[in-house]
Amino acid sequence: MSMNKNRFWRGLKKGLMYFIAIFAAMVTFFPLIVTFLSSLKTNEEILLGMFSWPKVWNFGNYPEAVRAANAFKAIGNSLFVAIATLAVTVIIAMPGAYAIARKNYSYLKAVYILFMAGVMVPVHCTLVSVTKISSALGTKNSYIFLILIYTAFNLSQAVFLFTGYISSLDKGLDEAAKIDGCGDLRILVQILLPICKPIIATEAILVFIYGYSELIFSLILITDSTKYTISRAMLNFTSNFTTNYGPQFAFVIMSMIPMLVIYLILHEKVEAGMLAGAVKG
Amino acid sequence: MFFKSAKYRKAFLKSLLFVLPGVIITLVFVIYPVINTAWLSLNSWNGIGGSPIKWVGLQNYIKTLTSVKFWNSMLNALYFVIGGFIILMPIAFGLALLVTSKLKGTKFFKAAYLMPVMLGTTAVGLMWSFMLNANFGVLAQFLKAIGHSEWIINWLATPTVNIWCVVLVNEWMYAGYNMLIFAAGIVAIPDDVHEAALLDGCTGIKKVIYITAPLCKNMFMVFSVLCITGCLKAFDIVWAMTNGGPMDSSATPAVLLYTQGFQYKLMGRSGSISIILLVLGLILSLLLNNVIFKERD
Amino acid sequence: MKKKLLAAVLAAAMVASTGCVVMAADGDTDYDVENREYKDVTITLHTRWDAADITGTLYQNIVDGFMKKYPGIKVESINIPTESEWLNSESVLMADKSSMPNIIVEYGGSRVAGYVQEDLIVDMDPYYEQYPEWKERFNSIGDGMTDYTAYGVEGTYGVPWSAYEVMLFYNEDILNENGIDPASLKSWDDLMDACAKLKENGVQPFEMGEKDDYRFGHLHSVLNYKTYGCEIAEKLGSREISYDGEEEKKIYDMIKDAVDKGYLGTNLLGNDDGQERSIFNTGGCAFITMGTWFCAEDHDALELFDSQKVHAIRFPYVDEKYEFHDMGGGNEAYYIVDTGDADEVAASVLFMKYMTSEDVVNTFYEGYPAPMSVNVTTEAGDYLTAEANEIIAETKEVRGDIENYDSATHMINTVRQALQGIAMGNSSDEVGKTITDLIAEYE
Repeated sequence: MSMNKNRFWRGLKKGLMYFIAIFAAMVTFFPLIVTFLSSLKTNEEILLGMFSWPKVWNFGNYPEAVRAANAFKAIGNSLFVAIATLAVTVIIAMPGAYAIARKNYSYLKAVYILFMAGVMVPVHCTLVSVTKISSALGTKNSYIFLILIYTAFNLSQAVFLFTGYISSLDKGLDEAAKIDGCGDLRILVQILLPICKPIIATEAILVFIYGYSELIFSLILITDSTKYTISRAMLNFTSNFTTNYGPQFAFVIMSMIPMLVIYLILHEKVEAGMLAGAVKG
Repeated sequence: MFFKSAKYRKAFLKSLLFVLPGVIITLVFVIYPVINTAWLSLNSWNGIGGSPIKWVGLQNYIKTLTSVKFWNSMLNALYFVIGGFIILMPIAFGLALLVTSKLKGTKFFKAAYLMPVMLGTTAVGLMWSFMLNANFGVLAQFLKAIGHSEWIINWLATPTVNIWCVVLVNEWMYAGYNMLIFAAGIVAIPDDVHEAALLDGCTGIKKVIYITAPLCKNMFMVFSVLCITGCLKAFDIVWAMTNGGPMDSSATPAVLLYTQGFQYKLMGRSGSISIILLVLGLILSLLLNNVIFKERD
Repeated sequence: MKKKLLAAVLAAAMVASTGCVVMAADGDTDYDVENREYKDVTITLHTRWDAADITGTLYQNIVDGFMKKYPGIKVESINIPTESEWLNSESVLMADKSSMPNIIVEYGGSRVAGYVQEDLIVDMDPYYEQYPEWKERFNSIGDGMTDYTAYGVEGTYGVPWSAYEVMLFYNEDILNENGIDPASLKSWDDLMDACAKLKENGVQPFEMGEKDDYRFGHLHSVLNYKTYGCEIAEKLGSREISYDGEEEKKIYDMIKDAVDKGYLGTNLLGNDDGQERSIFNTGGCAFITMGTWFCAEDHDALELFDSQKVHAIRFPYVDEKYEFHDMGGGNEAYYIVDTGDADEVAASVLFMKYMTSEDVVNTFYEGYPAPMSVNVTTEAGDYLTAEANEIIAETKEVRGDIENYDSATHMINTVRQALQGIAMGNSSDEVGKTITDLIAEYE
């Protein structure tokens, strides 16, 4: 009897968990479905109400979006900038976080506060100065400069996250390695890096999204239309003079696709990293 | 330091090398502009290159701190923080428990919850402001369908309601992302802890409260700091959904500093808001860091 | 060591932000830009051209044609169609001498006046003396865009391009069905009566998109001119008349009255101006009041326009005396920035001269027939633009956005925001107080 009761409760609990999980997934998907449906509609249909089956499946909004925003080129540019930003950010932030978390020099506290401050800086107050630096260096239309700026604005948060994670890890690990004669660099690359995969993946997603969809700096620093990133190209759709909603929705859907692909590729790594963390931590 | 051994010196220099690239980039592209802003905040300037910059001392700060608009924007930022801790944190932690549990299809759920953040703010803002349109939006359609069209209001144009709409959309967007932060913490809990808990008969909600949550302490701290700083700086989602309007009713401090600077051309005033935000955020983060989380160690 | 480094960074920051740029003094500028040698000169244009719009190609053709004719000059354009991003970008670039573009598109008013007062905009007078026939290319509509004497600066700044006038457009079918004769809509009261009739019949008169706060901003300006005549602009600008005085409250009340009766829209703050147009264009409301750029927009595949059911009439007067006073004038003008580089300035002038030359303007107009501040000598154009041009021809006096006659740059945002309050239920007293409070705060 009590065994049965127990099983019943466990079953109920499991059912409840599935219910919550599925409900949450539905809440997440619903707007996307509505957006997708809208991307197949004409203006008049959208204005009649968004949540309805399109009368005609009109895929014409997609070529329109591609044409007007040069979407493929923009998506490619955004991908490049995002991946480069991601790589540079992680390469610079990891050693910094390692030093701050594991070394005891007093100046590192100041460095940590510097990065903390960096997390807090509102982007817009830096615009004029960054533009000044850019024109002093003659870096108009330079992706390298843009990537550096993106890195600068993601670095603080990355250092902050990584430091938090590394200091939560058991120190015994790297001390054992030290006794085995490992230098800092080897400890970092061979021991900590694999363990830190989950947090790196977590931060990577955010940096990637930032690099992929950032607007303000790319607006000021990139003026060559062949180098436009995706948000910049998207401006053509949200312009005051354009009253065509269908292509706007089509563009939202299209700009999503590369992100999803990247995530699905990265997903396995995140998963693997999490397992590694669980085993070794 | 020069009295110490050569070995110490070498190790010291090595640590310096590890942090230096990050420090330089941050100093040049983030801190230098902030110093410039701090200096501007003590001056009056119309933002036009070559036009005189006039020293006014603390006047910008006084005007900012006595302006209704500024305090209204701070209230909006506070709504963001409240939403972050009361809505976002439990949801994100709950989702993290779900996707790290033994349920089937956690891979799918994880990917699903993470999707909104992958869309980018502009797309999310655009999507939701259409969904919330009082004429043809989905919510209005739904209320009409259930016969409560009198409940339809201009959600994005009614003060307080509009900022909460933005806050909720923000939670919708970031729940999956913060789930990842907590999940990273949960999977880092060693297996023997789980086993010990099981032996002690500590399962279910009890285990979450007494074992999982305390062991994810670091991740809660990370969340808190990211949440507070993110909320104080909230700009993109507000801008995408309401432009801070109508009449600045949904403006956050970051929106206000942007409009005051680049539309109203009050660069000094805008600078003072930036500095207030920065200092406030820094104080709050350090407080969280040192007082609340260190005490329990 | 650390302290020294910090001090050096601090000092560098101070120098960079306070240091002034010494301009090259040019005693004898050569104004004959046609007969000048250009080698590897690059000029940058900062515009609101929209690549996704019909005009995008037309503008690009101008740029391409110019570069073909003058191979020594390269034209780069920064085209940002959305208003806030365009404004943001211009503000940032104009904040420092080193980043300023060579030509900017603007709408006159106090923002440009700020640049003119700082001596950043090239005075066109010597060039017009050099090429008197160039000056003849402009009609008088855009004069307000180039004259800054009100701000204490003599000279002619900027090259006017497009023109506009705020008019009333109506849907002929809807008015016919409801027994309203468009010819009877002479005064604001006539219009309000028509709205009442429409509303009674269950037809929505206007569907304004006040989410874009320029909608009430324009309505406020045009009602001012129609009530007190165009001179009110200067009186308000000099604060001889106050924004919370009886005169202005009367205007706020006119708008408020129409809002309260539901004439102006059912979702004022939820719709933006794009949605407003969409609704009107598909027969969802009877009227739309807008600048004449509305005529030339892309109306492909819209039945109302194909069957010529949309027509333009002059915006109704409030005081008959001011029937022919209107909101309008120059719309966009191009301003040449004095970057200190003589070659760039000359090339920019040459570009504007090319852009406003007869063939180029005619070709542009054929593709986008909106009223221009430059003379058009082609017969092309659609029926609606023709109607609008006839109305413009009879207009006696025009002013642009009323806030632009004020010396404070923030006024256009301040007033528009306060007017948005009407849609939120604010009284005329509150609107006036919001404006005057903010004026005091920003002083």
